[in-house]
Amino acid sequence: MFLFPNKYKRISGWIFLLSVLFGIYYLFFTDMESMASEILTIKVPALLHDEVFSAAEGIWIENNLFDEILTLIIVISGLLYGFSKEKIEDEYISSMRNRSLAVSVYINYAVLLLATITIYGLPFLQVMMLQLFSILVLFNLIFTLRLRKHYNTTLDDEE
Amino acid sequence: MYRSIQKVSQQSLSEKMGVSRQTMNSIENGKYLPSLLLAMKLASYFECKIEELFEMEDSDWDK
Repeated sequence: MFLFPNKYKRISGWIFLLSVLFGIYYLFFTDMESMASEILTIKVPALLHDEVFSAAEGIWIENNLFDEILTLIIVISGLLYGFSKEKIEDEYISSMRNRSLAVSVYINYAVLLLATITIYGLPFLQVMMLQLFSILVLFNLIFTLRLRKHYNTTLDDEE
Repeated sequence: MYRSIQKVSQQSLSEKMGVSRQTMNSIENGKYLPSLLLAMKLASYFECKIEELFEMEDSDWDK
């Protein structure tokens, strides 16, 4: 499996953590419109768009890029963090990464199944939107905890 | 056991095998079952057969 160089691990981890925390704050504790600076409102080409929410001129729509930028930062930093090599990348670490990914997929879809039968309408779309990020958050959280446990293993004495 | 007979440290052996010391420790304690390739590398290093390094237990049949 392709992995990014270890040099991206630390910096992407911090960016991921801060951007996820900021994303939670942005989503749950602010009036989302107030955070989006007018400077970021520009015309962008859209393959698909909703005419109710955006005025279109051909393929060009006016859009505030704030949430797109935040999404890109969270996803790119999350992928870099989870898929960067450890200092000593070995098969046990790979195995831990694979298992963490599998567990996060199971949990994420268990939540989606639960949401499917209990949440309806617009709130369900919000849950689906959150799930785009929660799989990455869960994977990185589980993998990091496993790595910590692995590195904190009490090593047997030498010889 | 082979490691102590050959007086090679866990650190030195893990460096030779390209794994971390924690991973080597997990293999020695039976917490992690190495891949066939790593098992063959270990056997080659100690100049012995794989089954002299690793043995199967009855419970392994259920895995």
